Amino acid sequence: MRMMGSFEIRKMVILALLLGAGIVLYVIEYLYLPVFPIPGVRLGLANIVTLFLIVFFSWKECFFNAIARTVVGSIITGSFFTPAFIFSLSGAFVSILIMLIVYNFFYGKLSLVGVSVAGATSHNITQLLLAATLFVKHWGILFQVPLLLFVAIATGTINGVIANLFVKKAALIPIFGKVFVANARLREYDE
Amino acid sequence: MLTRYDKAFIGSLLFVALVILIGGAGMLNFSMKKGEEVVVLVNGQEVERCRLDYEHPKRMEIEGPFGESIIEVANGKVRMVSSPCPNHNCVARGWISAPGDMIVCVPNQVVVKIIGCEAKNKVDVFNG
Repeated sequence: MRMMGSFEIRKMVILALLLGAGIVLYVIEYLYLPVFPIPGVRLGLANIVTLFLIVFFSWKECFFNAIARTVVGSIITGSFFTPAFIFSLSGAFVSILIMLIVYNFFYGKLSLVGVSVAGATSHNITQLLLAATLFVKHWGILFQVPLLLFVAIATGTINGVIANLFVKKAALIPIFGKVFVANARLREYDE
Repeated sequence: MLTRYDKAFIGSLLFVALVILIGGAGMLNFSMKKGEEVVVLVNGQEVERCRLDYEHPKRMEIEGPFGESIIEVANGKVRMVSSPCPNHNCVARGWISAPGDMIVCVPNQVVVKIIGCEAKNKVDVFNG
């Protein structure tokens, strides 16, 4: 067995905690926040964890966190392998991809709010396209696009503001601070 | 908190959403008008069929077991004008226009139903 350094152990523990936080947010949102009576509209609080991971970790951790969070969360809420699960998984996948791209190319100009809004928008559009092609098989459902765009902008902004605050606070913690400063320097060097 | 570019990004997305909303609403209006029909059934048998977007007001006299029901189609809407039934619930229903809507007169066994291209393939509830 390979020996793990103390940094790796810390990283593992932090990732596990973040995964736990993601699952808890996912479940809480499912149970207690059916704010909008429209199917498929959720606040997406778990996305805050993904944003955090995008800033402080690499793309591998983001994807692993999202997949594990969706699987465990849907087992807890009882929607494993239902359409809701497939929607969550595919939406998470595409939105992380988009957020990684936006973060890597535009962060600094856009804050996490912009990244989050891009993620929320792509998440909703993916789910709607999936619903139109796989489940409903009727393009009339695409009339929901503008509605979901408005919702995505609203929830994305809320999540982005929270994530901004979260990242700022976390950067004061030494282990995150190092990574954050390293990333920031890298970006300055690029420009 | 929000940078200038954030605001520009969100603003442009809002603009796109608005454009799609307006365009979609226009298209919906356009497409919903087409292909909708009124079907009149007596005792489960289709006796009369008529386009809903019929230009001039049209009256249909339908013979049922009780007597003659009069149905009017005008301006993309349908109503029961008069009916020989005792309660006149069907007349009280007023104008209907949405696909899937119907006026039912139980005593005279007359059903007025609106069918449209939307209604055939429509999902009632999506649970997930």
